[in-house]
Amino acid sequence: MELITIDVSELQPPEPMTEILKSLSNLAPLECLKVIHSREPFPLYKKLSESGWDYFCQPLPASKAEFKRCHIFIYKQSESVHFKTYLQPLLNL
Amino acid sequence: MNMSGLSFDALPPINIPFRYFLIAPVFLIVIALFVLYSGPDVWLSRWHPAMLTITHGFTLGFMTSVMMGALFQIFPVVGGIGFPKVKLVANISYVGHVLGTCCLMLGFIWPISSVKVLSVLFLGGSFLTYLTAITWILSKNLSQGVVISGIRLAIFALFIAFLLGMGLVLGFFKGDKIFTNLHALWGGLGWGGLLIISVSFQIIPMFYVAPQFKNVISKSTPITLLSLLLITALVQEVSSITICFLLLINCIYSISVLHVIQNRKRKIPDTTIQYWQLASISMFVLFIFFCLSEYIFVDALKYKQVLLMAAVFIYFYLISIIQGMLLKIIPFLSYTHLQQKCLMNFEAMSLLPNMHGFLNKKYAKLLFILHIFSGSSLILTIFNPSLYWLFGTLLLLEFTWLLFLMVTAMRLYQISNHKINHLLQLTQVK
Repeated sequence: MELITIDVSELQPPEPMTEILKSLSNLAPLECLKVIHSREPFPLYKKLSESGWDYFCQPLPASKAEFKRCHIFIYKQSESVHFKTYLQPLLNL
Repeated sequence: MNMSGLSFDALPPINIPFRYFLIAPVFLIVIALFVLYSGPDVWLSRWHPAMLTITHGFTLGFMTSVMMGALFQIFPVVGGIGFPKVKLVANISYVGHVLGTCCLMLGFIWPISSVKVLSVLFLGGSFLTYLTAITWILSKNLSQGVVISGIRLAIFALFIAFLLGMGLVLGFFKGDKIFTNLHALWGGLGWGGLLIISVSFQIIPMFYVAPQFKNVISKSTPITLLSLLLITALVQEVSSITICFLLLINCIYSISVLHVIQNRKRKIPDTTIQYWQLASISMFVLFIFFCLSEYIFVDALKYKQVLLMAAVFIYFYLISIIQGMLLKIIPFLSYTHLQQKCLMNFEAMSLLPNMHGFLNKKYAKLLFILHIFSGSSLILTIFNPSLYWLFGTLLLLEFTWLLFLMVTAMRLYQISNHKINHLLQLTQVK
């Protein structure tokens, strides 16, 4: 299990999505993409689910840096069980 | 995070916001031809029937079309929830809006009762369908952030402006100009102004990677503006002091827009930034002009005061921001919709066009220059109506150019979408 982290919080749209796509295309089995984002990309969620991906969003406290609002964890639906177990202690699920 | 109550199934097909965006410049092309046909007399009074046709072409035809279309996209992005029965709502409200606006504009210059009745039926059906759908969205468990709270107030202002408008068309308030003034105020500063302000709290930091607006601005501006509008409605008087306060609050908001934009992370040259700057400066000009005309040059400027203020507010403030945002949103939406398809098959990423292919930067700059010239010619025409032909011509040029840019971007979207769909189909067959 490995976390691949990218920070798109200071990128101008649509660059965040470009970076997410590139990283997902290179994701190896049992790897999870952790995206540091300035907002919750709601419209992306449905597309992720339709395309065989699972996600989890962890909002950050307001006291964090101005541009960083949330962490989004994206992983393959087929590996969902592994990641839920893996992320549980990290995120206090 | 708790996602209960949110529906991601209602994300609108791209053609829904796009159909509203496309019809907007068409209305102003028609208005430009009407300006050229009508001659100079129209510009002598705000009460001239042809002037009412022109005003509603700008406010209902252009401004409201874009804003209605944009909300279909904004709710899923900001609140994570879309319109219920989105295609049905969009079809009814779009057809009703377009036909109703045409009938209303025609009704001012050709006042026969059947045209008026049709405008009431079409616009009534359109707005009631649209407002009912939005009320359903707002009744859901949405985040109570500043954007949604502000949109709530803007929708309330639209409802009041709509009721007043219907009452005026049906002749309920005959001979009482206060209701016309209230309708203009609730439609312009309420629906138009409040929606732009609320949505800007999301899109300026998002599109320009800029800091968030100060809490005091984002929390207090919309509610203060609406409270002032409520006062005007309750006392049924649009006093100078209320207008002064409304403009002052808009000026404070405009200062914060300039501040947030100035502090953006990446200062890439962008014409849409210039639209925001132009709108903010126009608001200061409007405020100064109002104070001067009201308290100093009373007689000299009073005669043209309302027409000039409406022109600066509608053309240099509202339309500047809306046009700038169209230039930002259309390429962004086109590109994002295509990008998301690549999640199904990463090979499709190679078929994505260049983002700048959707809108050539030089063409956007040319549109901005045309906007400045046509706006200036509008002001000149109010002072000297014999220059109406200049304004009509520049208006025609500007909005034909905008329509061309929009059609070009949408065409590229269609071509790329077709290629990507073809690849996805081939993958499924394999």
